[in-house]
Amino acid sequence: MIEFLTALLETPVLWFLLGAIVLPFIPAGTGRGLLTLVVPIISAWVIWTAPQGLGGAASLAGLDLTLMRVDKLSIVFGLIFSLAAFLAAIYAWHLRDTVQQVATLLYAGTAIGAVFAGDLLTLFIYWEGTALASVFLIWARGTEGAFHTGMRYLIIQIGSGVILIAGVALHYTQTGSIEFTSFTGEGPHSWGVGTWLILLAFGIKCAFPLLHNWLQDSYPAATVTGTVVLSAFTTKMAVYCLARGFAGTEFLIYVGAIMTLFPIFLAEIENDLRRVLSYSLNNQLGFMVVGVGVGTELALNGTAAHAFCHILYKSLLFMSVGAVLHRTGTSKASELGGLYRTMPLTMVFCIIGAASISAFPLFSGFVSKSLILSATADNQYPIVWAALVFASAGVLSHSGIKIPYFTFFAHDSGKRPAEAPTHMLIAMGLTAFACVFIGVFPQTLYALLPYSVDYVPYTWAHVLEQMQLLVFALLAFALLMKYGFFPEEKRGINLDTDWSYRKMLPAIVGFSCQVIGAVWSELMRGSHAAKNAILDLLSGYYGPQGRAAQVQSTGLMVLWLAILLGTALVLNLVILPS
Amino acid sequence: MAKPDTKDERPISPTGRKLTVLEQPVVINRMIIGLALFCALLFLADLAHIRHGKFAVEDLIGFYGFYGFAAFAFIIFATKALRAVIGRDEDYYGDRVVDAEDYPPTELELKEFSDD
Repeated sequence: MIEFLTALLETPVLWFLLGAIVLPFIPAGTGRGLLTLVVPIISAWVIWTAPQGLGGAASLAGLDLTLMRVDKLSIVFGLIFSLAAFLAAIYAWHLRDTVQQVATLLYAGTAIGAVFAGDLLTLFIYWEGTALASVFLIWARGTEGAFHTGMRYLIIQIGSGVILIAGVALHYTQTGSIEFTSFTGEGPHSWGVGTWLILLAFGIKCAFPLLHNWLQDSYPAATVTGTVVLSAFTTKMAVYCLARGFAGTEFLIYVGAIMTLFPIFLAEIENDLRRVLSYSLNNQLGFMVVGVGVGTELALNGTAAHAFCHILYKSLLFMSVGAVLHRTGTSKASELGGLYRTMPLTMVFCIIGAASISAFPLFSGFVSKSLILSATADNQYPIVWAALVFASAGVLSHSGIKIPYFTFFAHDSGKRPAEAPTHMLIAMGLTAFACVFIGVFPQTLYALLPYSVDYVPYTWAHVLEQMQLLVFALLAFALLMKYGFFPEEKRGINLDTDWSYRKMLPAIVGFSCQVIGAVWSELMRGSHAAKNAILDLLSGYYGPQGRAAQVQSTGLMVLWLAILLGTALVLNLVILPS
Repeated sequence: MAKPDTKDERPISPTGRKLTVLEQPVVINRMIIGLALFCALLFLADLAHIRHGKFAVEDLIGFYGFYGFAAFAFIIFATKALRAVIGRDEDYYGDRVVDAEDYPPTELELKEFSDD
């Protein structure tokens, strides 16, 4: 235990744990707010100054644990997680909810812990830690709907952890090691069941196609601040784990390409803007997974860079829509519109987030997504490359245009909400600054990436390609809007894979129960009838009116007794002689 | 885009007031024409042959522009059909779901804009 605590001292996780323990004892208000700001700063400092290599050695049940594996891949994820926790803390300055504040610290801390885990057992502990801590950000909404959504989220997240530990156990029996390193070996054909289970666990949290819907189900159900926090950690922790364990696994290129495509269509028809952003998050994860699948240095740099930029602009978009929800009580596109009149600063920050995710030149998405696209083209995956370019136009449609347009422009909803609170504006302003800064000075981000970068995003060719793609798509939007082809926003939801466990499974279980119930009641009815028949029969013989109960004369009984004794005598003498 | 409600006398921010010009049909038309001219400029820029793609198709003049336009239009028309198939009411999963219930107002700072 003491060895474990000593090992923990070397990690940034310690500070989040201490913060979470101390926080409830500080009166709600400025002191608490400062604590939630200071912890991520200390975390970033610990990460920045930590010596590269393996540290934080401990042992558990005879297994060697490594709590602090520091290299350039873990540093870049650790730093962006710390920055995300810091920005979210500013955004949540108004919060007076102890549960959410503690949950946020534990969630960020466990996600950072997972990034620095050098072995699979430590990874598992933090993996489940993120699930347990984060669910409180959904439950904190305090409604029955949020409670049910939280339960669904928890089952899937904990399930992912259970699959992970099963995979780790099988992997250990095969290899005798729990070191968290590349599992690729000689390719998927050489993998054991354990490796596949580990990939499945990562795939669930990374929202792989058909495993994705927990994300869109749960993130829009969380609190205003909770969604901003949720958007940063779990999925990018999974991307990190894929980059660490499965880089260069070719089929992930195709998995990633599908991930970039299908959420576009679902995002476009979704009414709740926080769910639109959740689909958009899924689509952005696809780009990162493609990078992992390509697996070259350029591609892995692209994955890390895109995760970094994505956390910032996605937080910014969730912050701006959250600010609108905070002031108007809704985040549904059908209820919003025309808010530029009274929330102009939130609008500007939202547009900066939208421009960044759409990868306009001079914004962060441009300098990170180009790395992945170039890596895909370099390695000659023409179909995947075409899918990614298509998806880039799709990103513009749902995140670049739909979010800011239907919130702040489009038809006037008649709502005149006040501008977002000052602390939210500061958080959005800083995040927006970071998005532009990285877009203008990409070398600052490139310096943090796992491999040395010999890549120039701002060539005439790159800029022209991207501008053509986006500006022509914008023209398509303008024309479709002008001539009334653009679909109206209307209230409603859309079916996704959650239908399988929210409708189909309950229906199957309900139907099965009905069938079993009907069969059982028939069986019971039948057995009841049989029992009654037997009773009737017996009653016929032995009941009050039965033969056995009839009054017999003494003479007859003596005769029967004599016959009985006589028979016994004969048997004794004739049949059973001794 | 709807015409601004001239009868609405509730206060709006000074920046917002300047931006209401964007709702005038004339301005909207000018913006679309400006966008189209910008597209034409980007298309013509391709004639300078500064792009050399990794795939042959990329070297077609205006490839990215037409691909972007077509992709966007396809997405919009496809989603119209998709909504008809998978769209449901908000209470499809019952009335105790986040889609059908209001966000608890006590957790929010709902506030109208004022000039103060």
